[in-house]
Amino acid sequence: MNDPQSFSKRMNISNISNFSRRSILKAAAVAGASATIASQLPSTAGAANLAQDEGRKLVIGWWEDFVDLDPAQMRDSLATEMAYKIYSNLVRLKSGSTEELVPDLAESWEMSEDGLEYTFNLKQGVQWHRDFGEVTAEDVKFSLMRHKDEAVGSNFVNEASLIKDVEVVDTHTAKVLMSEPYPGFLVEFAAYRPGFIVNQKAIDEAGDRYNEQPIGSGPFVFDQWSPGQQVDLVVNEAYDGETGPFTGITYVVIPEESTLEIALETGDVDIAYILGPEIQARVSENENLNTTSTIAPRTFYLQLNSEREPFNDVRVRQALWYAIDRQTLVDAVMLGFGEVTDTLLNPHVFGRLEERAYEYDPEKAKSLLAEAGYPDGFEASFLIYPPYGLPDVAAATQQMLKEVGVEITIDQREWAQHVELRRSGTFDIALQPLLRLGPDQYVTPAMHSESIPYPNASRYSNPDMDALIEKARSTVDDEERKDVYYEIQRLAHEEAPVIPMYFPVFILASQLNIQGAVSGLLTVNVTELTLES
Amino acid sequence: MGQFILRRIAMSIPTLLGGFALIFLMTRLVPGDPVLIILEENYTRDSYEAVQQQLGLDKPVWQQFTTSLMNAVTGDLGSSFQNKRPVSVNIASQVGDTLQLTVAAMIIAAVIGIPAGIISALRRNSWVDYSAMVSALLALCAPSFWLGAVLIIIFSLKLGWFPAFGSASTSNPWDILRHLALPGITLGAAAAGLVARITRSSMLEVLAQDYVRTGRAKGLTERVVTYQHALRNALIPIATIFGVEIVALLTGAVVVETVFARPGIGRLLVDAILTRDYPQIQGILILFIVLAVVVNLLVDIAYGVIDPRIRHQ
Repeated sequence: MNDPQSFSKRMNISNISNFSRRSILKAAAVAGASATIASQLPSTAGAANLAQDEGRKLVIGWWEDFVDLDPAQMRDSLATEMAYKIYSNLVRLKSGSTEELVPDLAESWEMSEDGLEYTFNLKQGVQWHRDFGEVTAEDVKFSLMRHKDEAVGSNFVNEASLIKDVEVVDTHTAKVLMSEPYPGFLVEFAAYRPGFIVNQKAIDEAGDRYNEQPIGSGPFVFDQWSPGQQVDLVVNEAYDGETGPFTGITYVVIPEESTLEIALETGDVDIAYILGPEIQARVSENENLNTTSTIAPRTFYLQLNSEREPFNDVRVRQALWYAIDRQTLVDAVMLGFGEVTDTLLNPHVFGRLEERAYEYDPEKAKSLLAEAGYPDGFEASFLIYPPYGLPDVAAATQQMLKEVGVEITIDQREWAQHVELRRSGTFDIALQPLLRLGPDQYVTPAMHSESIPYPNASRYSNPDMDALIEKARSTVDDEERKDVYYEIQRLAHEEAPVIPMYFPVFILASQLNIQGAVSGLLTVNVTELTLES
Repeated sequence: MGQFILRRIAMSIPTLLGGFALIFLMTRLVPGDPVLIILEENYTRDSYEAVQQQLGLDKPVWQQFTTSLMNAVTGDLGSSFQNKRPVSVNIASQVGDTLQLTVAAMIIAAVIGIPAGIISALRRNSWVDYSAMVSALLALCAPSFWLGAVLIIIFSLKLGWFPAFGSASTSNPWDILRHLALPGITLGAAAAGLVARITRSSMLEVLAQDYVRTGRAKGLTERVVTYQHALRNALIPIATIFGVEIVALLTGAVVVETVFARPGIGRLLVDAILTRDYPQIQGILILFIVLAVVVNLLVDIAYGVIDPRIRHQ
């Protein structure tokens, strides 16, 4: 499932490779029509008529503006996408993968046997944007250690607590010392948001205006921002790696997905992620666009409030798992743009257990309910929030549970209330996503007792589970660690503290003249794209 | 006149204070926790307390109130919980787009609504009247997200006359107008419909007055009767409607800004509400109150201009 192409074929999604001459001509015609509009839009340049001219920016459509470009506070999708262009990490994940690492600032790195020391050898002569000097091991130390600083208020303070210190061996060698083994360090920390290397001087000088002048050492330089409308990056001429065929990137903010679809059709936007099933279906069939898709690193799952009856009974939790026909949900409600799962761990994530434990079986659900003392079912509330087609998923689930006698009332709230109600434990069943990279980032929030009352809103507490999760965290050997994660997932099958539902699919749609897009963690692999005339 | 304006400005101070207190209270009473929204899956007791302290939410509510009130009086609206920028900077960067849009909508409402209402009143119960009033009703009823989408499909996608999204990124007036046309019509349509209906009924009422009959009796032309005597007297309720509509247009801008992917404080406000960004919500709503007060002050001044009797009272 790691190969997005095989998925696309199975889903009958048109792919990068299979477009025809006719579709190119058609695209050209559409392009002609939109060229007039495009010429009036100096900054959001139309895609279509620009293939032949050399200096051209890539226009990426995005559904929300960025919130915070400071890695310590970074939590939104556009900031993350832009940060991968503006900043460097020590190491990076290969496009489309959440396991395979490639060099970035560090040309090589190694971990000590006991997993307590990581040594990074930095490339020589890497320059900060806008004459902020050379990137050194001191910058690495500052960037990683600031997550531990209380005054910074980093979102990653928990992860950073495992880092004891960063030792500056020499200008181009940094050694990260752990207080205990942290096998997820490279993927979940160094290659992700907390691992973006920042410049102390830039942060200190900018103060609360840092978002208007972030400084990095990546392939693109932050140019200007019109809040709520667009952000412009320009290519970093001094960058020694691949920067791709574009002179810069313009992110245009288009919150309404149907408007984004039209912007793709008129050629005003070159490339964009499409998240809603209905528009995904239309875009996939549009001959004038390339699409590539991947299973999203986002797991939708149910939390069952185990402090409330009857969810304190494991048989009831299992019964609900059997009673929901998740395949039908994916096929009918998600229009096929999703995949059923019995574990929280995403297909891209280390240690995922591929076993299917629960097939749709209403009879078994009924007998489990009878065994638990609920032969006639029960009533419960079902907490959801509006986006991602969740109301439709909830309505279908309601019908399915009715078949086994469970009457649920749908309680739709906006996200802020959804979170609040789960933390305070005033809910029965709740549906939400979990979007993470490493296995521990899935199992700890959802099933470890230290995460009660939130994010473990199910209030599931089991010493065996806690012990396993802690063991997995500190097991350095990959094979061993994988086995521990298998054990955790099998225990989750038995105990059903949460019910994993499905992974949605992300579709990355682009103009026909843009090749090589790989759909991944809501990022666009701009430097790997090619532009054809 | 000067004294009148000064008195009105003085009277708006309690309105602002009351509004501020109400907004503060409402934001705190709505369920949802800004700290939790910021932390989400990174929530632990420690991180919760750290962020709470950073945002000043660990202090008692009355203390938060007095601090933010004192700061607001000195013009400091605080910093956004979300992007840490000063609220005033966040607002300043997007308020221009919203004002452009609202003014465009008001102009469209006036330019289409008032003539349509006058013609309908003059040709009462003719087919012109009926079709104008049915159109006005449709414009009033059409939801803006639907109207916006239809306009985009016809005029941007099919005909390619106007851009489908965004606001002008240059100060070229032609560019600004092209970007404003579709969203302006979308937002102004309902107001135009309302203005047309109000104008019609107001005109009909005035046309039935004794002084209009007197005017006709002493041999004034129909044109003079209509435009100099009747219309001027009919304008009072229309001016009132503009005072009321400004707030409706500002809130209506939220939907239009989303459909057309325009930046603006409507969208900023919705995002702030969804993330419980208290200082940002307060800042924008206070601006809305100020705008409403100013527009109503202008309407009051306009009353005096339209009807000298009000000025002399």
